[in-house]
Amino acid sequence: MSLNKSMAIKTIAIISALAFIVPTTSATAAPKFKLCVALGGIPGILGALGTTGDPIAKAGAKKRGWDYYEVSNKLDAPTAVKNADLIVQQKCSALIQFNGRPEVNPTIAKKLAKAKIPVITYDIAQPGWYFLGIDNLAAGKAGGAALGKLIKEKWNCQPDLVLESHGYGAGIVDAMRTGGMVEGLKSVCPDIDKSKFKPFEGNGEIAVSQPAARDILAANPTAKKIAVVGLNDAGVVGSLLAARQLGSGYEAMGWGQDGNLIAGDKVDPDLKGSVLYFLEGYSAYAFEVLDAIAKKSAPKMRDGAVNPAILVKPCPVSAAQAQGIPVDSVRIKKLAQDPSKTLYSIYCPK
Amino acid sequence: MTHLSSSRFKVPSLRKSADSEYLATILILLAVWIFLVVISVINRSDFLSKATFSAVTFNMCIIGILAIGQGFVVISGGILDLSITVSMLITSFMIVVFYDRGWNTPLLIIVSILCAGVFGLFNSILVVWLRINPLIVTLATGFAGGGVLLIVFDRGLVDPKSSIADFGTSHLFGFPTAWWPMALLTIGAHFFFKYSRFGRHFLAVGGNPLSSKAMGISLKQMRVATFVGASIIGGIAGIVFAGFTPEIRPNAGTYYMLPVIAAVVLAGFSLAGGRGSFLALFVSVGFLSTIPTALVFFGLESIWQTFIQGFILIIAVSIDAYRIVKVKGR
Amino acid sequence: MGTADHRDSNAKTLLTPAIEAKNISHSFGAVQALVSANISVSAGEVKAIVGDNGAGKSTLLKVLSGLVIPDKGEIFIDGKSISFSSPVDALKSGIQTVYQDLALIDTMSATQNVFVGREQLSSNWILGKLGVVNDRHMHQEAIKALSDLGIKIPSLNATVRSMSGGQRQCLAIARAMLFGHKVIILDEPTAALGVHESAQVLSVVDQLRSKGLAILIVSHNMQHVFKITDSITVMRLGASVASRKTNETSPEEIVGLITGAISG
Repeated sequence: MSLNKSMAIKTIAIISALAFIVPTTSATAAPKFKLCVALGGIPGILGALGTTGDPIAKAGAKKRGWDYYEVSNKLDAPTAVKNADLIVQQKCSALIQFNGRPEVNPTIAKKLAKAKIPVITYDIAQPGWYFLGIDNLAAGKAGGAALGKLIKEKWNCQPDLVLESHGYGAGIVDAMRTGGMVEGLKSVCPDIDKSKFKPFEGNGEIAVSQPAARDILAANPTAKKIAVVGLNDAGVVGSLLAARQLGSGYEAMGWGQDGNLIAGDKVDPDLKGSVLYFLEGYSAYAFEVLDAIAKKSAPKMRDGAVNPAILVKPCPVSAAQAQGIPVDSVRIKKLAQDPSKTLYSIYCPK
Repeated sequence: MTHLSSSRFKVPSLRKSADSEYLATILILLAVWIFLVVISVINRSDFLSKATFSAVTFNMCIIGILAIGQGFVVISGGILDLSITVSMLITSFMIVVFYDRGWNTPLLIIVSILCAGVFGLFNSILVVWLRINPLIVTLATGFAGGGVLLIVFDRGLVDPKSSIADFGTSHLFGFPTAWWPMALLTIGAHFFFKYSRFGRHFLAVGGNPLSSKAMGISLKQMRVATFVGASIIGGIAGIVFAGFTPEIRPNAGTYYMLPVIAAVVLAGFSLAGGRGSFLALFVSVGFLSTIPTALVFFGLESIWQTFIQGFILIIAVSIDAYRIVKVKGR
Repeated sequence: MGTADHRDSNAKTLLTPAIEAKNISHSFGAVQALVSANISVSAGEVKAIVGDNGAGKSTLLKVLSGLVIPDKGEIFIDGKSISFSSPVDALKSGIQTVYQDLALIDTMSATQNVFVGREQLSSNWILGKLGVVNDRHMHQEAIKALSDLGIKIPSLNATVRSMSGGQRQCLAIARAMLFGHKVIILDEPTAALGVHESAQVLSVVDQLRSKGLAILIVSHNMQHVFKITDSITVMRLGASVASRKTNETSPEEIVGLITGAISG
């Protein structure tokens, strides 16, 4: 409570400080709020938005009577830097960096800080930018618990091996997601022996996780009931395939993260489910911060993945449930009709 | 006219045939491989199991094929093809595209491999007609090709119910089905270079391009054939890759380059061209593919393989460099 | 070395030359390498081309072997005009060139070197169609060709890298003999060789002459030139300035012609 109070006092102090500066310019015309979006930094993530733009941000801005300006970084770091100059030229009131390029984010951050443009970044943390991302720990726990239920049902909570397909390069995200999955699994099956858990580097890719998992299975030749958790669907599927490659006698079940390989008609038969983040609908959450900035009462800076400004709620789905959820392009059209909702509230199975 | 007796010649100390050098390489590699297996068994007696055999033979499949393609380039004096993994990925992506259009499997495999061949043709045009160093050309087309794949495909999903996915997990005659293309290509390459006229021309061009040209061999034709051939072999690896990888990503090639080059150099292929044995390459691939599995038995993560393969590559390249210096200084 | 008896064959030089190049001019950019050079050699004749460095000898050899296509001039084989567009054309016309430095492929065996570019295929119809080579037959032919010329090479299966300079040169010449049915061109055949090895090479050249081949030798070694050749053509500044019968001239005169002290 006292914290809120001190924040309020600070905000008032800032506003009153601004009040001394602003009048000279605001006397001519009150500038309209202008929301800018820079799309697309990381390959593979922005399926639908890569080509169509961000209809959620656009619809939200329209509803509020704001100006809207959008650029695409085209998955390219130099383009992202050039776009930052455009954003400054456009005199944007706030920017959404929809997956920045981590390697150039510091450069972009300098340019924007100089122009005093506040930034909301999705998923990739940058000091001084409001962080909006998935609640990775919750995502991990939910996925782990869902897999735990299956293991309890089918194997009486006695798997021979639990493969943890980590992506250590993802740092804290991996620790929360993959570590969270182990926690979630243990919350259902608390008595699985510590020695059964085999963490390894899968790099979130089939080409890495598959051979690594094969080698671990070879080194544990008596293990036949294999549970798999991991940083993402690919890391899990690679490990599931490894078990199938080593021949009959293996029984494997896995639960993924990010939902990349759980939709459509090409789902791995052993991938029992995944956790959806509804990344394409992130902008529905961003307005919480944007509205505050527009009211000149910007919230306190929370710029880390562990100290986020806004957490998006993850949605665990079984393979069967995933079949009932439409593809991202359909989802986003639906959400654009009413951006006050979230994709979680519309689509996540109860 | 009296014949000069051979005693008048300075008798050279070194008098080895290429075959005997290759045999020595094979025996040394086999010895090192057996040594690795023996210490692994001493470490843990259950190392020799069906599962280990499967793990190692699966490890060999993709690296083995790519190494044959790379060895083909090296032996023919093309230095290295740094874009060979792009050839692989082109084929993998095209397999997905044609499968999704309902093509039948043999046809889509052939056409997908040909797509890789077209990419190789592009490489060879840059190498032959623009006279750019193949290392630079393939470095550039490797990067550019990866970028184009990213823009055009982003990712490719292989149907787990397809025969290609089945090919990636099934066994045939006790080996992974996907192991056989590598084994057959090894035998094919061995006979091609040892007994065919065309193969011998590659060896000649790799050994001494100017001399080969003076003897009437067209360097242009050979260079084109080298890079198209390497891309087609890379394309064959693409079939296996599609079988192994339900979600194909354009950047997946990066994981194969180091072990592939390490295998080729370790097998005694001279980066200067003209010499190398595909049987030795097979043993080299087998040895390198055993390392990650053995590491796990020793309680290390298989990720250590990158470090160890890099280390082996340095040693092998040093041996090759020493050999070149020794020959030149003769 | 029997160098006296071959002079009897000088009569043959009156016949149509096996190869004749007339008025050959060629420049590399601004450098005029050949200025209306002429050369001819007949069957059973050994002719030397001598000249200072940069006199155009190497370029003339390359023109005759199809590696350089001259700007101007004509080449006649047995009196018939012909033009080469690549080394293959020259090889097909029966002209074999043994280069000083790029003759052999180090990584291949002696037999493979002899037959490189002309590998014999298996007599088995299917294997032949598949392009499978007949190593045994090539091996036998190589042995025969080498023993014909009195060349002894310890192992034809060893890579030529392990051979001495003389062995390599003899091997290259033997190869030329096996496939050059008309003209053999030797570029500095005895350079960098010891006394014994040079003698061996010269004796091989003598063998080639007695087989009725026309032989062109580029050499700096006056002693060897006078020992082995029937005639000498002197080149200076890209032009052929004089031709002499070997037995009618002296090393002093030739050196004078090379340096320009005596004008041809």
